[in-house]
Amino acid sequence: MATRSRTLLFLQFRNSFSRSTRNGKAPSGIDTSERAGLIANEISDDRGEVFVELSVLPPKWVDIVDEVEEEIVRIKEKIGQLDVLHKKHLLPGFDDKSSDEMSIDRLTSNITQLFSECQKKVKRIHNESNVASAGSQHSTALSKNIQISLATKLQDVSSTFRKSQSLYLAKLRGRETRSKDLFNMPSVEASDQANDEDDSVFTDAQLAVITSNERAITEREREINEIAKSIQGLAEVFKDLQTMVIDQGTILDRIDFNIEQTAVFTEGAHEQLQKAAQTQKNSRAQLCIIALSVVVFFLLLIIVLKNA
Amino acid sequence: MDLVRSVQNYFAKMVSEVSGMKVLLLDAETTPIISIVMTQSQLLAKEIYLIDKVENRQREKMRHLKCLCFVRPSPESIQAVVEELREPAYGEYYLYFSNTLKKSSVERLAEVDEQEVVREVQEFFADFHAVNSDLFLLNMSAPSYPLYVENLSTWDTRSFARATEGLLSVLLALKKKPIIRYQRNSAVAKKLASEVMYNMQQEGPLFEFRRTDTPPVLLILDRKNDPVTPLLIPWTYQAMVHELMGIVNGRVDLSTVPDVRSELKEVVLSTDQDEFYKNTMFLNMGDLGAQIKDYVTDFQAKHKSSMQIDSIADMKRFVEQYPDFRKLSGNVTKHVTLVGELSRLVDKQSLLEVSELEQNLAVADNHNQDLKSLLKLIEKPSVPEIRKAIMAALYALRYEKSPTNSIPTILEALSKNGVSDRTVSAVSWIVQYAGVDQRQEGLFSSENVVNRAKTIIKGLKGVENVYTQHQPVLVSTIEALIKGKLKDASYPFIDSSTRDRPQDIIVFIIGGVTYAEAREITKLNAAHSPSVRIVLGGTTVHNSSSFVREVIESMARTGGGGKDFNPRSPPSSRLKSNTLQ
Repeated sequence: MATRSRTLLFLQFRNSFSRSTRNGKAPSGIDTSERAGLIANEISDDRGEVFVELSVLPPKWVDIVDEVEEEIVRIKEKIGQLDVLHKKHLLPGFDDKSSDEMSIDRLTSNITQLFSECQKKVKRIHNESNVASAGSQHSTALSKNIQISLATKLQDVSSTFRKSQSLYLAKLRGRETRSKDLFNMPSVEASDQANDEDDSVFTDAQLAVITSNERAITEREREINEIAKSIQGLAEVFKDLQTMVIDQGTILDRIDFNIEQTAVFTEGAHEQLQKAAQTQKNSRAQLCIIALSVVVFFLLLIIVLKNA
Repeated sequence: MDLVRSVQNYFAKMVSEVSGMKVLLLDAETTPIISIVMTQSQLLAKEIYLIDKVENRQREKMRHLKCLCFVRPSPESIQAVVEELREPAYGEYYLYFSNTLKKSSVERLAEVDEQEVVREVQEFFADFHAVNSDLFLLNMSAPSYPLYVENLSTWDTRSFARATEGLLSVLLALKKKPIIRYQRNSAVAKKLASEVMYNMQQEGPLFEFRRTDTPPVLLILDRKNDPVTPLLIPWTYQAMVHELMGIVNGRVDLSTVPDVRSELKEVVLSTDQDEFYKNTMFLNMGDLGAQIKDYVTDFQAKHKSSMQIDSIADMKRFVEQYPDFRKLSGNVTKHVTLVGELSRLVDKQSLLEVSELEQNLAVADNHNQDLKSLLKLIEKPSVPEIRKAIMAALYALRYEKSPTNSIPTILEALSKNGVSDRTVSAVSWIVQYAGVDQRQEGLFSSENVVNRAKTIIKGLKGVENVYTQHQPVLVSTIEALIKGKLKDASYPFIDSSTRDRPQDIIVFIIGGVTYAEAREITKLNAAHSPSVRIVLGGTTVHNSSSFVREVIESMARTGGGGKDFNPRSPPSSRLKSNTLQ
C-alpha cells in the first residue's frame, strides 16, 4: 500500500510562517512584552491574575489506569514463570517436589490476588471518573472506553491463565492415573521375584515405595483442589468483567454506531444546557429584582424615619 | 490484491505509530470507510479511547490526549481541520488524509498551526469502502453525488472528482499502475478513463511501482450496458439480504421484522468478524438452509453440554468456553433471524413466481407464455408495486424492438392494478436509459444466431435451476479479457495497447454494481487463481429498487434526452410508437 508523507512540506511552510510573523507583528495569543509570564498556556484575565490551564494534565484517575496496565504486565510475567515451573514439575523424576509444589502454590495465589486487585482498581476508576467528569460528556465517554479496554485486557489474561491451569491439571491427573498403573505393576513383578529370593527385603522396599506413592497421590489431590478453588475465584472476577466487555461482532462494536450515539447525547446535552441556562437566567434576574426592591424599601424606610 | 486487508493495513499503521492515550477524529465520509474494516474494540486495544467527528465543535479540551485525524481532503473537511487547529483541543495532532492534498491546502494548515501542535501530515490512500476482499464501493448516490448533469453523457462535476479520486486511491492502495480500457459507447467512461490516466501521469513518483511482466488492466464499464442484472431477484445470501432488506455499510436494519428482539434491531454483516457469514455469503438459499441447520444443531449441542454444571470440572469448562459460547449464540440468533425474515418475505411477496418469470424473460424467448404469466402476476395483489414495474421493465427491455410487443397493454394493466404513475413511467425510463440503442452488445441471447442455437440446445438439455439461469454479462466480458480476446473496437485502450493477457484486473462500473456480480467475480478468482486476480468496484451497490430509483433520478435530472420530457406524465405514447429520442 502506498503512502506519502507531507510532513516536511508542512514543516517548511510552518517555519516560514512563524519566521515572517516573528519579523512582523507579534502573533496573537503570545504576549512578548516584559509583563508576560513565562509559563506556557497561561490565561490571564482582566484583573491580571494568572492561572495555568490545568487541562494539560490528565485527571487523577488516569494514574490508576497506568497502575492497572503495569500490573497486567506483571501478571503476564508471573504467568510465564508459572508455566516454566509447571513444566519443571511435570518432568518425571525422583526428587522431592514439595518445594516446587509450594512455590507453584504461592505463585498461583499471588496471581489470583493480583487479578482481584486489578479488578478493584478498575472499579475505583469507574467511581472516581464518574465523580470527576460528572456532566462532561466526553470525559465520561473517555473513561468508559478506558474501562472497557482494561476489562478486555484483563479478561484475555485471565483466560490464558485459566487455560494454562486446566492444562496443568489435566497433565497432573494423567500422571496420577499413569503412576497408579506403573506402581501397581512392579508390585506384581516384585512379588514374583520375592518368591524366588528373600521375601522380606523386597516386600519392605516395595511397601516403602507404596506409601510414598500414596503420599504423592494425596499431595496431587490437594493441589488439584487448590487449583480448582482458584479457578472458582477467577470465575467471580470474570463475571464482573464480562459485563463491561463489548460483545464483538454486534452493532455495539461498530465505530459509526458509537459516534451516532455520542451525537445523540451531545444534542440532548446541548438542549439540557440551554434549558438550564435559561432557567438560571430567569431565576437570577428575579433574585436581582427582589434584592433591589428590598434595598429600595429599606432606604425609603430610613429616609422616612430620619425625617420623622 | 485484497482490498479489505489493504485498508486494514493503512489503519494498523496509523494507530500503531503513536503511543499513549489517543482520540480519533473522522469526517462523515471516512466514518463508514473505517467502520467496515475495524471494530470499536480493535481501536480500544490500541489506546484510542475517544472517537468523534471533526466537525463537532463542542468538544472539550483535553490537552493530555493525542489526536489522530483521518479525513477526506474535501473543502469542508479541510475547513473543519483548520478550525480545530486554530483552537486545538488536544496536545498533539497527527493528520492523515485519504487522498492527495493540494499544496495550497498544506499551506493553509501550516499557516493556522500557530501553536505547533501538528506533528505529522500524511496521505494514506484509503478513500474507498472495502466491502469484500474483491469488491470496493464509492458510496456515490443522489442526493450528495448524482452521477449526471444536463444529459447522460456529462458527469456531474463533484461526482466526477469523487470517482476519479476514489479510483486513484484504489490503484495506490493496491500499488498498481494499469493500462486503461473503457467501454466504447459510454462517454462518461471515456472521460473517467482519460482523467485517471492524466492524474497517474501527473503524480509520476507516487505511481512508481515495481514493474510486472504484464501491466495490470483497469476496465471501466457503464451500467447501462447491462440493466438486467440489477433488476433480477438474486438467490444467494449476501445479494438476497441486500435485495430484500438492504445492507448499508455492512449494517442491516431489522426493526421492521415482526417479533424481533431488541438487540437484533440492527445487525452487522462482516466477513472479518463473522466466520459463518464468510463461508455462506455466496451460497444459494438451498445450500444456505443446510448450513444454518448444521450451525444451529452444533449450537444446541454446545448449549446442552453447558447446561450441565455438575462438578467443578464442568464449571471450569463452562467458564473457559463462555466467551466463545456467548459470541456463537449471538451469531446463531442473528443468522436465524435473517434467514427467517428472508423466507417470510419470499412467501409474502410471491417472489418465487416472480423470479421464475424474470429469469425466463431474461434468458428465454417464449413471448406469448411470458406475456400471459406477466399479466397474471400484475394482477396478483401480494406482489409489491415495484416488482410489477420491474417485470414490465424486463419485458420492455427484451421485446422493445419486436413488432408484436404488448407494452401499452402491460402499462395499462399496471395502472389498473394500483401502480403509481411515477412507477409506471419508470418502465419507459429504464428503456430510455438502457434500451437497445443505448447498449453496446447483445444482451438477450436471441439477438444473435450463435446464441440462439446455444439457447435451443440448453432448452433441450433442460435447465438445472430455473431461478439461477441468468448469468451477468460481466462474466463473459471478463472471461474474454482474461483470454486476451476482448475486442479493441468495443473496449478501446486509452493510451498504449497490448496484446498480453492481463494478470491483475480492476473493473469499475459507473452506475453501480450488484452483489450477484460480486459473487461471479469471486468465482472467477477462485477458478483462475493464482494466475489471474480480479477486483470489482462501482459507484454504489444496487438492488432492484435502488437501481430503479437511480434511473428515475438521473432521467429527471437530465431531462431524459427529449425536450418535451416531463417526469410527471407517463411517456407511454413514446413506447407505443417504438421510437426513442
